[in-house]
This record gives sequence, structure tokens and C-alpha cells, in this order.
Amino acid sequence: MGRRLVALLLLFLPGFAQKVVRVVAASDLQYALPEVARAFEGKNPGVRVELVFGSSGKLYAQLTQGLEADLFFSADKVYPELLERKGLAEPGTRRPYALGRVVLWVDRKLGLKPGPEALKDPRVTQLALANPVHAPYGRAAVTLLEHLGLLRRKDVPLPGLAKPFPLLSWEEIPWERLTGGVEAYWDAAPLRQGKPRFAFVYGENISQTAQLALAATRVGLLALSLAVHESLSGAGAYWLAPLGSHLPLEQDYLVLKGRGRPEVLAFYAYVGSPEARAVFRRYGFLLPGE
Amino acid sequence: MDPLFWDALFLSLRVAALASGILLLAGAPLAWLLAFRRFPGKALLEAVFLLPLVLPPTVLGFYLLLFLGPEGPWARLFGVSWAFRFEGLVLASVLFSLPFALNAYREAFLALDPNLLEVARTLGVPRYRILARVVLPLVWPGLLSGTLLAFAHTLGEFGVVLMVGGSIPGKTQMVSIYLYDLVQALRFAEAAQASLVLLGLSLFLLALVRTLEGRWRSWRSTTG
Repeated sequence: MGRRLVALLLLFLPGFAQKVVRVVAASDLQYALPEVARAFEGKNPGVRVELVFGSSGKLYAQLTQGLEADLFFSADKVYPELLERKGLAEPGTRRPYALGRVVLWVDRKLGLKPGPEALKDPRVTQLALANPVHAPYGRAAVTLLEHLGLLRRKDVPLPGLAKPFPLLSWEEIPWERLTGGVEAYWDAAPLRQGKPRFAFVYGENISQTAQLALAATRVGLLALSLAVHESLSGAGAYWLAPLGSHLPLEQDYLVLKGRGRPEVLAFYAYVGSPEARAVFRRYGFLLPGE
Repeated sequence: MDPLFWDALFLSLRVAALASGILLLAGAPLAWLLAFRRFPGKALLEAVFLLPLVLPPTVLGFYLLLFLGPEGPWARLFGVSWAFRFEGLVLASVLFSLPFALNAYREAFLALDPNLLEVARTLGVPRYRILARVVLPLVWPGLLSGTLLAFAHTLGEFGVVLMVGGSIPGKTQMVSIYLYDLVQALRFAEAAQASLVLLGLSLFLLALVRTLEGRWRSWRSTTG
């Protein structure tokens, strides 16, 4: 009885003598980062990398409220900058690790050629995108649609803005205030034309958005790093949005304040190594300095 | 307060009202069957009804999404997909709150004094009159408290509606998702205000449930 109890308790204890690096990361890294982490663990026996994924905005909010983590990988540079300004980052550690790409993913069963023209097809009645209020990929998606002429700014008053909303640059848009959904601020007439109905459907983060697209909407604005994975590439095809057609997703990472233990710094450095860069490249990320 | 908050709150209230109404009409007879009848496979059926209690809401929501999606069985059967629509939210909420309502209803029925029913039956009172004159006056507080509990539970659900709803503002964005988005957007002050309204409402509902239960108990002790 006593021995069983001890055995049971041991189950709940973390592995002894194992060093753990706790990483919180944007969900577009869902497939790429585990590969990087496993390779790192192979080279550094005794170190384990724990990964948690979510929307960058959610992770940021949790970090400001005391979430215990060593490294933060964002899908943009806005949230890492905010952390730095709050004094929650280890000074001088914020740097870019990748540039995210946006794709228009279309389910094969729809029989449409993926591309901006596909969005005008009457068969496309729902479009999945990440919530632009807090997910960087959602912001990129909205600006892409605007760039393609499929969304037009409405003249909505947003209190406290120096410039009227239609004249704002993508960087100046107060995304966190746009809780009314895309159609409260943009006119989606070009997308609605000739359709019985049309709706934007919002995912909580980019990997849930991919799930929504795969399970129900059949069309979505997703991350390239997810679309190249077999779960999505098997079921559909994608069109890659050109650089400059949307709000850029310059993805930064950093070491959190007081967390610069040797194993954390080792993984931090490994992310910039040629092997890690090769993995990111394989998942479609563009890399800093290339 | 942000008008979108009221939209989200009223949507939640509408979904919760409809779902708990359906639960009362369909769940009460079901609970009666489970309380008094024996039939093969009863234990399995009860386990199925309890599943939403233990399944992670996101898993339940994901299966519902596949079920209600454009290629799911529902769309094939009825020709219309209920994913990301009000109707889908109601169906999801009915399933999600089913175990809560069923348990409460069954408790209410099991607390009935069987002698009372026996006496009524031997006196030759027709069944519908037993129901109207004996059963309902005794069990209604229990039924109502179960329904209110399901209502309150639906107001607070998150994982299921996140998956099935697609959080379209003004259409399928329920108040729990709206609050979550406010927090993600770092609008903590507004989120706190909105939470306070929801907290007050939930507290009121739960106090009502407890009051009903208390009243029901004292009734039972006087009649039984």
C-alpha cells in the first residue's frame, strides 16, 4: 500500500535532474517548432523543451499576468515590443526568427482554383479567418482582402483617432478596438455579389481557424506554415499571397525577464542556427537576413 | 457600455432561453423514463446522456461542427448546414446542458411519494389528471430549478460555442466569447465591467435556483 502510494506520487513529479525550457509560441509554429525542439533535445541530452501554443495576443495577456515561461515566440513584433516596454523581457534578446506568409486555402471538394478570383465564386459562402482583434494572422488576412479590392473601408467613426479610419495605414489601425467584426468597418460588397449569403467566420487563433476551414467553411485565410502540413495539403490547395500584399508578419522572439538560464539561452541560440532555419524554411517561413 | 456587449448578451439569453425550453419539454419526459422505467441498454443510454459532462467542450464542439457542417450528416439529411448559425448554437447548448437538466428532473421525480400515485391510481383517476393534479404541483419547483440551471450553464458555455459558432459579431458571438475577445484585446477595464453584469445575472439565477429548491423541500416535508 505504502509503496504503491509512493509510486503514484512519483508519477506526478517532474523528471528529476532534467532541465526544462518552457516555451510559449504563436500557433502558426504548431508544426515547425516541435521539430526544432526535438532536434535541439537530440543534441542536448538532459534538456526538455515544453511547448504551449496559442494566439500571440492571448499569450501576451497571460505573460503580463505572470504566466511562467522562458521564451516567447510571437507571430508579429507588436506583442514582443509591448513586453519589452513593460520590462518583462530580458533586455537585448528580442529579435526576428521568421517572416510569416499568408495563404488562401481552398478545399479540393469545392473544385475551385485557389486564388483571389475564387473568393468571388458563389460556392464560397463562408470564409474563415483568425480574429483580427488579437491574432496577427487575422490582421494580415483583412489587409490582404483590402489590398485585393475585396474589402473597402467604411467611414466609421472611431473615437480618439487623429485621422479618419479610411485614411489609416495598416500599422495605424487600432485592431484591438475592432470587436464588431470585419463587416462593421469594411464593406464586403465585392465578396457578397451573386451569392445567396456570405459570412466571415472567426477562429480564436490561426490553427483553430485552419480547423474551421477544414471542418466546415472549406475556404480560409491561413498560415503557410500550417497549409504545407499534410492535414491541410491533403484536403485542399492554396494560393500564396505575395509579400507586401498584407500587413507584414515579422515574427519576433525573446527571453523573458530573469529567465536566461544556460539551457534557455542554448535553445534561444539554436533557433538561429542553420539547422533550425532549415526547418522554418521547409514550413514556408522566410528568414531574417535572406 | 459597448453596444456589442448587449448584442452578445441578448444572443446568449436567446440561445439559453430556447435551449432550456427545449430541455424542459424533451428532457422531463426522458427523465421520467430514466427514473421509473427499466429497459435493456438503460445504463448505456444514461452514460451517453452524461457524456457532455466529461467530454472537453471543445471536443464536443468539434464533433458537432463536423456533424452540422456542409458535408456532415445533418446537411445531407435536411439540406442545410447549421454550423455558424443560431440554430446550431441552440442544438449545441441543448446537448451541452442535457446532463444538468436531466439530473435535476430525475431528482425531482424520484422524490415523489409513490404511495400518492398508487392511491390516485386505485381511486381510478385518469392518467392525465394524475399528472396535472398530483405530479406537476409537486415537481414543478424541481423542474424549474433544473431548467434555470441549464439556462445559467448555457450562458457561461465557451468551448462548444467557440467551435460551432465561429464568433460572428451580432450573429453567433455569444457573451462568453465576446468577453474572451475583450481580454485578448487587452481591454481589461471593459472586460471587467461586462463580467460584472454577467456575474450579477448568474448570481441572481443561482440564488433563484436555491430558493426554489428550498421551497420545494419544505413543501415535500409538509405533504409527505
